[in-house]
Amino acid sequence: MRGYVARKVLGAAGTLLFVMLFNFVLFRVMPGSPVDTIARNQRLSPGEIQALIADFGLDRPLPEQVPGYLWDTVRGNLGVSYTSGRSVVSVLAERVWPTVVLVLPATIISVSVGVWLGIHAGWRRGSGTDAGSVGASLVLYSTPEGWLGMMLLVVFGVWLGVFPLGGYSSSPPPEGAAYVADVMTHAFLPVVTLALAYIGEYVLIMRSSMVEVTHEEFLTTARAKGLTDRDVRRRHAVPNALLPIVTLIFYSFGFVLGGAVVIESIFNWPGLGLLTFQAIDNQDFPVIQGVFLLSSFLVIAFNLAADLSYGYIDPRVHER
Amino acid sequence: MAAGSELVREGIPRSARAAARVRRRRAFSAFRRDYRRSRMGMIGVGILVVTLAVALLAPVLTDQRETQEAFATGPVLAPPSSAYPLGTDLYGRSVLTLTIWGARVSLLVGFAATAIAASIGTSVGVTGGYVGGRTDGILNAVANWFLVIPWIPLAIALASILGPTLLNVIIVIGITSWASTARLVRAQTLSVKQSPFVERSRALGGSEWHLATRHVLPNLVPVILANTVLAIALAILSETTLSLLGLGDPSSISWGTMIYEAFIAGAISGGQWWWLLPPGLAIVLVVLAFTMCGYALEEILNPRLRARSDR
Amino acid sequence: MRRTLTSVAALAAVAALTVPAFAQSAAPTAEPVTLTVGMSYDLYTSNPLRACGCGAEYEFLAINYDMLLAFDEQTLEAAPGLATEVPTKENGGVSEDGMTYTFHIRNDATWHDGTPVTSRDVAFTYRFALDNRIGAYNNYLPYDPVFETPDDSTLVWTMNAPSLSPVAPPFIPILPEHIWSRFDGNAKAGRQFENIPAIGSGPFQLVEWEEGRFWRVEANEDYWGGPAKVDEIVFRAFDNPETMALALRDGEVDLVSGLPPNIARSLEGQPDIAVHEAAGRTFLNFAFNFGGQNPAATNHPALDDLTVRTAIAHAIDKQALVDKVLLGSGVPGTSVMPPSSPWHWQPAADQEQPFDLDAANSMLDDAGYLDTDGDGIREMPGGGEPLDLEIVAASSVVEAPATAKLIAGWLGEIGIDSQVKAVGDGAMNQVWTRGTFDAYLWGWTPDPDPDFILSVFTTAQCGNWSDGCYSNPAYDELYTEQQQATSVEDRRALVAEMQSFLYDDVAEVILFYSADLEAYRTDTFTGYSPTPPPDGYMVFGYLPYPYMDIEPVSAADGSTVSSGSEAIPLWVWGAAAVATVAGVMLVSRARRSREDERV
Repeated sequence: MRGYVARKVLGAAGTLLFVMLFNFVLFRVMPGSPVDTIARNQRLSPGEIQALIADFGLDRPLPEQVPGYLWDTVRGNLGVSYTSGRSVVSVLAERVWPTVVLVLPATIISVSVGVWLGIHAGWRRGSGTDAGSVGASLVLYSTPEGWLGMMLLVVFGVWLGVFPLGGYSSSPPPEGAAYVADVMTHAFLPVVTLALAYIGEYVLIMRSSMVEVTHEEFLTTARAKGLTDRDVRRRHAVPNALLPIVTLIFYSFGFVLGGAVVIESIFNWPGLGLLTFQAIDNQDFPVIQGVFLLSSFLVIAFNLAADLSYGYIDPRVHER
Repeated sequence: MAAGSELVREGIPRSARAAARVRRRRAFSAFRRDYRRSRMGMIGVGILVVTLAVALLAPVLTDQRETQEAFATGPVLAPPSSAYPLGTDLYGRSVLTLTIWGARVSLLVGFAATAIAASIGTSVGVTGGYVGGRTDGILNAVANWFLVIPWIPLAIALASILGPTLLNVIIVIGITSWASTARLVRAQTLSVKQSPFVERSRALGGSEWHLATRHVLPNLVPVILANTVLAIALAILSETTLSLLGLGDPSSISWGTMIYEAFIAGAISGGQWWWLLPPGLAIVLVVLAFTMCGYALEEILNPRLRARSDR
Repeated sequence: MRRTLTSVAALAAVAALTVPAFAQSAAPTAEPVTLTVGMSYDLYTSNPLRACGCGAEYEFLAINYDMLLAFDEQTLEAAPGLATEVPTKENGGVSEDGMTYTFHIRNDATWHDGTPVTSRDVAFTYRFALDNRIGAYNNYLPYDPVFETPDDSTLVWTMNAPSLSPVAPPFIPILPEHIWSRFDGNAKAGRQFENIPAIGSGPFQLVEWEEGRFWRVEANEDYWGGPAKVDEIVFRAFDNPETMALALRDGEVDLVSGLPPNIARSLEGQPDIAVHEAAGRTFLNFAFNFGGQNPAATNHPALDDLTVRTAIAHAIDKQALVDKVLLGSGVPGTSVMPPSSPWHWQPAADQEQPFDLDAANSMLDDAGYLDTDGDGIREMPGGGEPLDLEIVAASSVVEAPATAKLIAGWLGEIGIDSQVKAVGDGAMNQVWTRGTFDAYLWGWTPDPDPDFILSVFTTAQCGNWSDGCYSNPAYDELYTEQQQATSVEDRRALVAEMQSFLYDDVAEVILFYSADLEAYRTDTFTGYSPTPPPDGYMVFGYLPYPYMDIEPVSAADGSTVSSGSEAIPLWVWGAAAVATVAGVMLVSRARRSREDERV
């Protein structure tokens, strides 16, 4: 088990290093130097422009910039936003929170509902429940999440006018418990959209996992022991079928951040997704690079968590 | 058409190659028979055939000039009427006409991007799985790393570097989505490579090239096919995502750019549901159709799943 | 035991989600009267040295700072600001040669930190802008000015040529010397200064900025012009107008600006909402690339030919653009100064370039731009390069991409092929700097005074504010002449001549002036006053005037923020917490079961 963990952690570290290097190269081969962005309309003297270039370390050949970049990144120095002049780390830190408020509940809802539906659909394969949930899941899976969000805006925002929209909280935000409630009401529609967008996949995967399990020998044994259908499902089928879904949850949690980009931009949600979008619009490369690094890091970390959870749940891994 | 009748018609195969051809033809007709039995698959194919026909017939069904903002003749933002069954947009263009033309671009992006992704993915997967060793190690690392790179930020970054043209949208989707195909193909290659019939052929003195092209590749086709059909669905959704972020090609009409235009023009507050609904529903329908076909294919072609369903 | 622990951990994680939420909300104290304004831009910077003339920064500079001279609320002509009167020859403020101006600074103005505002602050700000080459400002300070401060309330401004520019007046926020002097000579450090709270002398002070969400200003009780009637204003950034309109509907914001026409229409007739159409001051232009950015510029040679540009001008149906793109909320364009400005110029009937595709086609035929290979696209005279233009539209200007596509359609009718690209501001900057485009669509909101917008077309501005690098020595001469005019009448004539020149030379095609569509709630605040009345702007009014008279509908009502329903989401969060626990239990169960089987 210790060897397994060590191997996985090392692998993740390697991928991370790779991503950091890729990040470095990608944003340096991009057209558009910081000087274009900063110098415009500020009529800098040639000397000042040179100073700016030196300031961003762009005057040295690329390979020489690598160690400095890596060291800075490791120390948590991701540079300064070209547009606002603030440090990228503080810009990112401000935006992480709203995204978590959006993504975490959405994942929890979609996983719990999806898994529950998947279990029942898979257990009663071919039944009405099965056909209904598979059909609904396929439709949800096929729906572009942004468009789904717009439809919810039409229904709840324009027709019913139930939820406050367009942002993270009222402004100025109320105090104390009222603040939490305020953020929650604002979060409701985007969270529901995101949850609906992801539910289909969980249903389908949980269902097929259940279907595979129903044919396993140990279920026949369990039935032979005289357990009720419900007990067989709950005590034997579900725990075994859950294995792939648990890793999937971790795995997709890393990616759900990316999925939040469209939802955040439609609901005007001031999280990392909207930041990415705005930074790209402004060609604010240090910020884009920071977002990129952060989201890659999250994917890698959650993948690692998926692998480790797999090792934890599946005892066979311990012996390897 | 029974499989047996073909054998009779073909007579006794004269060579090994002819035998293989017969075997494949039989497999194909068996596949066709199985596929016809899948209700899901048939519905999917039905939707796709209709969509494809509409897309191809767009110039016949409608006047392309009507899709140009400058020459639209309809009233502005008119609700559905007999003259404009799905109403009109901000420029007085018929939403029905736009939706029909949008099918072309959306399908084109779906097919072309998937073609790119499938070719990269298959080459990388087969090469890695078949050659093995250090090559495999490197290719696998690259694929794994493309899998962990967050898709949307990368696609947005690439789209904004390359600029918003249709070709670039296709390229961006293609090069960011090959990794899962590569992984799947590699795994399948490994298992085919070690299967008894390949071992046997190798023992009989088949060359590596013969093994790769005659045994490994044909056996990968089912996997690649099912995966590709599912990937088209994803590519169409990806195009929509990029368009909704304003990174689509503004001068080509796709369902994604239609939704984006409606959204930024305020169709939600303005209550122009007829502008927002058709392209969205079209995407759902087509993506659903590809997904259903893909699942049907998977069910038939994946021996493991198939054994289960027979039981 | 371990299972219980994990469940507790999961619960704690959910609870932790709410903790920073509490921590963030410590700021507001009593019950301040807060006006909430929705905008489609966030603040770009809180530092006046980084000013780029973009986004919400205009509004921040306008209400946080004073200028030496303000604009008259009615006419937008120069008016007393920090200076007690506008110098003229009559009142002795301007020397006979028109090169020396004397300003008297008011003695009741103080900075937000209580320090008095003096003439030295004004002199410092101008000198700082010049010495450190702050591009957004030094344009306003021509002819090597020297600023002297014989005493705290007197500023003597001397130039080496006569000019009206000191009373144009310079659009420069006056900065406190005691804050900014430490950055003198080190503009880079100055540009990185966060500047929150922003010490200015205006009626409001920027005290908080949550990037991407909102920025908050507090009223300055000691403002020399009298305090505002609200305690604070929160400006909220909306990434799309749809959510902004919905936020106005459910009372999250009180006033919004920059609505697309379709949305503004949908708000008309909504209960407690009024829509205001501010007469267009912003114009959209179709401008050409004349090269000159750098040797690698890819401008099409045909655009150097006035005939081609004139043909293009005839191929654009400005009225159709107004009808379709603006749904009628605007006016077809002619020159850089909008119709609401006293400086506006309109072509004479025989000078006009009306929409006429036939005329455009025959112009191109006569000039030898023929379609020799029969592909429907004209080629350069004598064959060769086809007339194929790359048109770049700024996607930040909502109307630009749509307009570009309409224009591309018409250009096709006169045998000019074109590709439309819509790009964000960052990419737009790049395209301009590199010169890799043939034409672009971009919007300008000129200052009340025409000097700046006219300077954009001078040769000297290539690479700075002139994005297409238009260059014509005759025009440059006119510009200098108007800058050195010593009487307002002379200047007015010259400014009209320049606008006429640009129109005839088709330096760019001014497409339309779009109205700013604003909307506000009538049940929360009252006293909205457009600047200038009656059809001016309530947001982006150049000056703080529009905010000064706004007061709550009922003074007793106080704050107007309504928070929505709470029940449903709380339930959802509860369910989510339960689901987490259930999930963790399932995981543990899965593990246990595996272990069972192994034994």
